Amino acid sequence: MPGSLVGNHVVIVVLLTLHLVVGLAVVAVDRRLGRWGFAVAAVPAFATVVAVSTQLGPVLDGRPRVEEHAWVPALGIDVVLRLDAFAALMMMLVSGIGLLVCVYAIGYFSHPKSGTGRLAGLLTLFAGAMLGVVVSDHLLALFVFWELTTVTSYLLIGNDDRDPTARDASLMAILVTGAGGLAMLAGFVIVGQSAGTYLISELAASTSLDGTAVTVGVVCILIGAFTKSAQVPFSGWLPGAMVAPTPISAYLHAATMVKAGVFLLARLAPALADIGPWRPLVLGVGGATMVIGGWRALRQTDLKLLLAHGTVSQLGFLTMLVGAGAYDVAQAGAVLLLAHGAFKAALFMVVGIVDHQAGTRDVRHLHGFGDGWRPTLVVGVIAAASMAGLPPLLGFIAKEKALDAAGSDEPFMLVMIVVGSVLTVAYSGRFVLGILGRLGDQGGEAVSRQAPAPAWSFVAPAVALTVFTVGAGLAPVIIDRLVRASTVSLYPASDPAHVHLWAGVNIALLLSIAIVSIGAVAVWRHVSIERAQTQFHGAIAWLPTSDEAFWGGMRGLTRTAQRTTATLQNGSLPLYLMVILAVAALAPLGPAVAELDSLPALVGDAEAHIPIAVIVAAGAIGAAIAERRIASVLLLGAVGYAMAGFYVVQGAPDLALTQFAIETLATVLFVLVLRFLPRQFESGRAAVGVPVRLLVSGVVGVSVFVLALVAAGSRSDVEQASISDEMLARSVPDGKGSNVVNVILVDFRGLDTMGEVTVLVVAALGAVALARAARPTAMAPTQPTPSGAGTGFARLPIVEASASVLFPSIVLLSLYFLFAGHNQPGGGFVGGLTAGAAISLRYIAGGVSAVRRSFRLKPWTILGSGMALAVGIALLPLLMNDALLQHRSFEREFALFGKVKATTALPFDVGVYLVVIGLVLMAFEAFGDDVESEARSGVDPGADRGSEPGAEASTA
Amino acid sequence: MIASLLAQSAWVAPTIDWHALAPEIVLAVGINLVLLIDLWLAESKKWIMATLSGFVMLAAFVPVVTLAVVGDDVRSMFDGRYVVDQYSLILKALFLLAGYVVVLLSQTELEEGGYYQGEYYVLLLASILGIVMMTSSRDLVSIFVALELLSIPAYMMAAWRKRDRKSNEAGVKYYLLGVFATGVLLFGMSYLYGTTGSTKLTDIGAALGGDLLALQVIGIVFVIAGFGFKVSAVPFHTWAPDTYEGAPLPVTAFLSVASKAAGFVALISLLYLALYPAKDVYQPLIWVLAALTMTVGNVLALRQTNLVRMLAYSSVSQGGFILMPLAVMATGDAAEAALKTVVIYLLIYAFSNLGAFGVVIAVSRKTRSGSIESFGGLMSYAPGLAILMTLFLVSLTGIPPFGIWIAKLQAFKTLLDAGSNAAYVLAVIAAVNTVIAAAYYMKVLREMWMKPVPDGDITPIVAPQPVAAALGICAAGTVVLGILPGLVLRFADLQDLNGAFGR
Repeated sequence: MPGSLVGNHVVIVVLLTLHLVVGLAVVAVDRRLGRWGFAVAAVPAFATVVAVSTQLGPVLDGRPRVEEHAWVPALGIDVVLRLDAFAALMMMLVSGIGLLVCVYAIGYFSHPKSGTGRLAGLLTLFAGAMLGVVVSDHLLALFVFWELTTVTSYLLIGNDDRDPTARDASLMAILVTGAGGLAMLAGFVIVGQSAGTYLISELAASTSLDGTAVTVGVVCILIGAFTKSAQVPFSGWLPGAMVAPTPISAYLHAATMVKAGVFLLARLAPALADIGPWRPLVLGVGGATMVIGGWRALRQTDLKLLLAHGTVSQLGFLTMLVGAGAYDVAQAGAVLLLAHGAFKAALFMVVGIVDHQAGTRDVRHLHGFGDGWRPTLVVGVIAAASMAGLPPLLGFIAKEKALDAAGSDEPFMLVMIVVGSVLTVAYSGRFVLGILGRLGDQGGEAVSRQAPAPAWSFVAPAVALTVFTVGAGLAPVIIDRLVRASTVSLYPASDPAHVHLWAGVNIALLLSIAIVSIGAVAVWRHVSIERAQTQFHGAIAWLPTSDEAFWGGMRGLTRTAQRTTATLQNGSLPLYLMVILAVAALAPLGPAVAELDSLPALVGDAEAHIPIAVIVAAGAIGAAIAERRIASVLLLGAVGYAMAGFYVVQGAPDLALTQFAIETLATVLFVLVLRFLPRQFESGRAAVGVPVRLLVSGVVGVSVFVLALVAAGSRSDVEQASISDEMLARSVPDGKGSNVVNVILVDFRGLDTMGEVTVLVVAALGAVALARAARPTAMAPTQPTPSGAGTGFARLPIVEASASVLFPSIVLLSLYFLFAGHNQPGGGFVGGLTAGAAISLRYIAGGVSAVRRSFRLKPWTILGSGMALAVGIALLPLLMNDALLQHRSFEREFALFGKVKATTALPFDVGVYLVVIGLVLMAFEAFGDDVESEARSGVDPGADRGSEPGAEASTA
Repeated sequence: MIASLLAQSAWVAPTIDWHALAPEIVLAVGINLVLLIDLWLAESKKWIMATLSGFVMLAAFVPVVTLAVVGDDVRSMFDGRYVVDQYSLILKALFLLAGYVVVLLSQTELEEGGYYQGEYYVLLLASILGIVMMTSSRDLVSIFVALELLSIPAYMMAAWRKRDRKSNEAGVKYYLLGVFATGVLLFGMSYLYGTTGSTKLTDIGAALGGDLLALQVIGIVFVIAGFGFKVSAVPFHTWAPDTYEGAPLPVTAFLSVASKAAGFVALISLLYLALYPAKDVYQPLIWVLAALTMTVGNVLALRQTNLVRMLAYSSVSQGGFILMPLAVMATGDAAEAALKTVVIYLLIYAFSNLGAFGVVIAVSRKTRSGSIESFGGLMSYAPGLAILMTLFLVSLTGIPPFGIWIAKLQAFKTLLDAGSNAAYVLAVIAAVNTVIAAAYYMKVLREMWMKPVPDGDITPIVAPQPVAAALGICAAGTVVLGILPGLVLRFADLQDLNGAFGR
């Protein structure tokens, strides 16, 4: 495949797509493939190795292969894939080891187990994502692939493992690396915005990379890289992730995923290493990781965990080398990348073989192996020697190079490398002793001796890696060109030296000898070192490990979450409302108070305000503390009446009249409905304590008070002329009426009135329908109600008598209001409400049947005809080519009455009048029959809505 | 007097662009049609209602497409108070599609649950009509009418499981808090109208240019608080979890996506056209709302054991992310980026969230449970649903290349574009929240992929056809928009929102 595509500009894309397609396909057919899924998974890896090899010529000559594909043009995100020498090195590493791991996995998964095929598919997907990270030149595309490696590795680590620790480990891995990835994204965006480019290849040339923002961005990027590469203090997830099957560990934790962070550091160091915290962080964290990881590795009895901690240590080493930002150190890093990939993968494979064949990988249970194990053990020993940095292996060359480069200009790094390397020699020795069975428990059963020898194909991949380790060590020329070209691709101005096995006697060599000697002593005295370690760890046991810190943090977070939920979201509607009320009251309070330059005189000219205000306040407080619902409602009514008192004092009798009528009726309707509720407010434990409630009420009260003051005082701030003056002026000439309130209702704002009337009608119908549905039996209209029997009121003769006298006179009064309304206080609304009061009187005296008797028409007939009349009158002018609601007036002399003035506003008002009466009747029809039925209705739309238009009328 | 007023302004009947109004008209006709047919339909044939409603949505989609094809000139009606521009068209398309998906999700649920069907679809269509109108409304009055048209049916739909106490509680809470918020909103609107003398957004914008009066500040605060309820921004979010949990699942999906998005649309219109000059008032306010919303939503989501509740809180938190760009929209040159971000976010969020609810609907048909644990081992017996859910949750987390990552990225870029300290702080808060959110989304993934099946019942789940279709639409949207966000990014340029900055 690659051969035919060379020359096209899609080679890399094809490779990535191949991984995607093969990976998805293998996941899809999971069960049918089983372990042979890895054979399929080897195909893309092999293809990648071949394809990259064909490209090596020009790439190593410094001509990178660049493929550009527009992706999100609107955001300027292009997929720029760039295959330079360093990328080629990484790709060879990723795919080469990937290929071997696939072969190895076929042997490893020889016992059929569910989910093996899926593992192979996920591995391929992961490899594709990893290759994407390596070749992406655009930071955001890199991030995309980076997160894909996170997700796929999550699935790989936790794949189908019934073991809860596996789940915890995988969760921790994804949380840590995912969080780091997001921090990294933030860093990318900051750096990208500052530099003006998101292309890594252009980043180094950017001159605008300084300032606080860039510093923050750099730290964010470093966090991303450190989490991915398991640096202290984020290293906890890597040993935890060892629950994954060994081939996966070998791949993810030796060659690929953990190297992503190192790769990123290497890529960005040339551009960013000089920025503030970069170098101190990289060297400090890397050095600490190298030493702590090595120290921990020494304590392990599980060979795989030993390797895991060793990997953490080596990653610290790599971080220092590639992140330092100097080309010669970076060159050492490139060699170490290759060396580490080769020996660590081989070591993992050996441990996997041991585990697979012997059933254990604990050094205490290994007592040496039988015949046929020789190749495996040789591989293990050679790879461990390379890890320890013994000549003539690749590991030695890498360490020598690092010591040499660091020795010239990085003393701190040198010290850390030396200390870390001593530990490395020590744990390498421990590993060798372990697989040779020298650390086995005294008196333990020598089960490992009976372990069957592994098949040759199972060992072959590890052998291949070891051959490379030895070969490249003896003849470094085979990697020389690749390593030097990689260094040049990172640091274009550099001229790296050749890689040698023997560089003569120099400081590096002397240091190496010292390291190996001390390390060897440590191996020899391993028992006493173990004892010292145990004591040391006993002494620092109180310090949380990163594992404990992580889970402790998670627990703290969940506990906070639980507590917040319990407080804020307890399901209590009063609490919800209180929060909203408090916010809505507090938010505007600031600007409102600022607007108040001076407090207006609270007590105006009228001394009468004072007693009225006292009544209002007393009524309001009383309503709040009353324990019985009815008392509360009555006190509210008192507040309303007192408000009407204000109107009277201020000389607005028509408003007062409306208010009186509304209050009367509203109170009656309230009482009507409250009958169905318990007498007293429930006194159970409230969701919110009394002090808090008082506080919120106080805040709301103050806020409304201030708002009212501000609103009243800001008329002068608005440029437009006041509408009220104009309405006053035009009331008589245009509206033909001297009662401005009424003229507004039927003329100026006639359309509003029509809308309100409609709403009233709908509300009344709805209320009756709801009430009927709730009490199906009680509402049969034909059922004769014995007069007064069911009303729940005591029948008082005096009430009955006065009602029969008063009723006609009040109705007459209401008619007067209706007809006089256009010029004197009154009008349709007021009239209707007054009639409503009359009806309620009737109800008190004789129950709902008395109400029915007094009006022969059905309530809905009255309601409907009122509505029809109002709308009809409103529409009539349209027939005469006038505008909607255009009223005409007539004036004629009559013999008896004298001059009579009439306008078409009158019938409109009559419509309103009828609607209001109809509404009241409907309310009695709905709620006012008898109390025998225990059905309850909590919602009271009828009474509620009934008061709305009136209240509006009074403020209009 | 009316006549005289009318005479002064030389009343002419407004010219009506029938083509521009066609989507609304189709929906209105459809509503009546569904209502009428439902009256005469035998109970056994009620399934027709779902199909019919779906067709109505699709029929309304047709003029949206033709309008988009015909050209990109702005069709402005009623003196610029009702405008059909590119911005409104893309959102109309989104809402109609979302409505269609909700119909698909509802069908089986309603049939099997024995709910009233005809009325449900009428209400749903009415609500969608309100939302569609919202996208074009450029006047306080029409915004308010649209808002009520979309809200009132939703109040009823939330309580659609009549015999279920939780559903009733959901409806009542939603209704009570909703009308309260409406009151606050109207209060604010009346102040704005009173102090600027116009209900037209662009006129208000022109009038707010100078120093602000205290009344105007109060008005703005109240208006934003009112919409804060609609988009369930903390602290106005309290209704959301209870309502989401109690309401029938398709309704929850609808509320958490369409109804919320409509709130954002109105907020955008208001902020960009009317309130834009008053940035000193709304920017800090929205900043606080956004920070609170994403944090509180997330923290509450962490602890949930019920998947629907978790999704509810997570959608609260997502709302915070959508608000985030608006908190810096008038700082630096972030205006355009902020608009684009919100629109993109709404589009992709709709697909992912609807999809997640779709999977919950499909799975809960079998498990009869909404708990996260009931998703244990889903991968082993319903791999298709598990993979889809993974897709939607990964998208909601913001992990590329699926869906929301591009929106989140855009949001962060907007903050950096703005470049103020407040913007940076908000970006940090958002980053922390993204991580917290990852924790609870991953919890569900872990459940599906790694835990055993709780009751050992591994009969495969067959998603009903409509649900499967809905999931298909959502998955396609999530994946395609994530990989090729360029498809929609070109919409919602600032010049497409007609009248922004007095243009």
